[in-house]
Amino acid sequence: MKEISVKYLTTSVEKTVWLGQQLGDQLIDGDIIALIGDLGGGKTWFTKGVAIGLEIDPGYIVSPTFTLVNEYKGRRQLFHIDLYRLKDKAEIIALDLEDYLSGEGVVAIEWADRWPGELPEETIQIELRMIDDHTRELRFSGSHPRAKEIIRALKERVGVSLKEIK
Amino acid sequence: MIILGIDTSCDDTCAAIVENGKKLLSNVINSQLIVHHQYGGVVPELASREHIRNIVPVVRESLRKPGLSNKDIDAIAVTVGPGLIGALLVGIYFAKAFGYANNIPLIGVNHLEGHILSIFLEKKSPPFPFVALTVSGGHTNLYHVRNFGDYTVLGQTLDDAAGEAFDKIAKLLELGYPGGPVIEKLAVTGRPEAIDFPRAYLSKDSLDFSFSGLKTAVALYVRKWRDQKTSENKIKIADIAASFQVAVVDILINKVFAAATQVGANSVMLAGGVARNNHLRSELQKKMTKEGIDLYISSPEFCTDNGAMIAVAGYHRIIKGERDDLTLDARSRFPLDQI
Repeated sequence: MKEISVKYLTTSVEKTVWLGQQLGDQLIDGDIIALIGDLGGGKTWFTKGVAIGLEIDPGYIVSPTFTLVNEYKGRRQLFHIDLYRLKDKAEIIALDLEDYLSGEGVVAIEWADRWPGELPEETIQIELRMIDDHTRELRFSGSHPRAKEIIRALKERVGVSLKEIK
Repeated sequence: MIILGIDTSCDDTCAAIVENGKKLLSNVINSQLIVHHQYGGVVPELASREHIRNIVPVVRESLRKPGLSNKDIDAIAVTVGPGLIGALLVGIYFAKAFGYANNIPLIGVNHLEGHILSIFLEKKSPPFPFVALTVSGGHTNLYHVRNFGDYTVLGQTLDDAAGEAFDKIAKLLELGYPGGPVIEKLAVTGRPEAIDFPRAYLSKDSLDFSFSGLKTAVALYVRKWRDQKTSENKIKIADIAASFQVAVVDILINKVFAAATQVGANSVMLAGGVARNNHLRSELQKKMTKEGIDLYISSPEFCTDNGAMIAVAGYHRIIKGERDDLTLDARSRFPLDQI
């Protein structure tokens, strides 16, 4: 399947949160977002935006690095997973992390590039890149029909690729 | 009353026995036991299965040390949250079985209440009301503590916990894990004024914390620093560690003092893994002495996760007549004012 993608630039944390909300608004059970990017890229703050879209108080959303998985209830359940501390596949299996992908809620995975093997094909990949202190480039991509549907809807709301979020 | 306290909220399997919420009879943590086992010093991180393997030997050891047996235990207290669900469940199911088999009361405890009440294991404990700062790899919370069981959350982190920031910066600087001790050690030889990293105080009245901006600033700084690293570069890695550490400590001290001022508290207590940081301890002591506020800090062995603090918290619930039954369940998020 052919991949589609879109890139946006945000110039503040608030704008990153806003962009997260535009995505979160559309998400339903079974949707998976994979967040990839450097330390300080804005993965947790982006997830706060996703949470707003899911009608979850963003004040509750904190980095799940320590707990590995945080669960929140809003319009849908949000499973906020963080692979930063995990070392190998055995730990992912031991923690039953694969169970979270069974479609009971929305799943957001930070440091998703550390997932051993393939994430489900409907996953939307979001790469966050630090341009400078405040500017981030966020690239959304996916190849499954559901992922494409969401990315197209995001384009309709937010605009064309490489647009700076005002 | 002799209480067995269990904590399996994170990567340590902990059991301890405390008498009357004060007198420590034993305090066992799996990382101590493991060296005597075949694991050869490898601390298995976070896997629930490791808790399953460890829980019985750890509890046995906690009983053996003071020469007690199951029938000497009057009640069992166990952490129900916050923490990793799978890890918490091991402790909870063990506690249910132990309580049922020995026909003694079972009580579920909030891990953060345990951290706060760890101060009552010390010779000197603060009078109520006081302000508590619990700061670790998983939490950075400020509380107004009016009495046992009576807590208000004054502030918390909006993103990363303070200890998490230490771990992530240590990893970025390739210093190893856990980050707190390695950064602290390196910072001793560095200049804290070398780099002026941003301190996020948020709004003036806010008692919340944010460490992700600081983390990002350090990450960007290190990236540039590596690019231009030459013999002429006057900034040493120790300077980065010291400048980062002082920024974290400044933020923590600023908010603790603001909290004490806001609620009019004369006493402040500090607990959690990051409370082992000597720079934080000494700087906070200086500030509190200057402001005429009494500071109480838990001993290092009660700052990290332990079962003793859970036994203390359990004791104060049990004597109020509180009990849990076999429907007791784990809670990944468990704000302390929702007890």
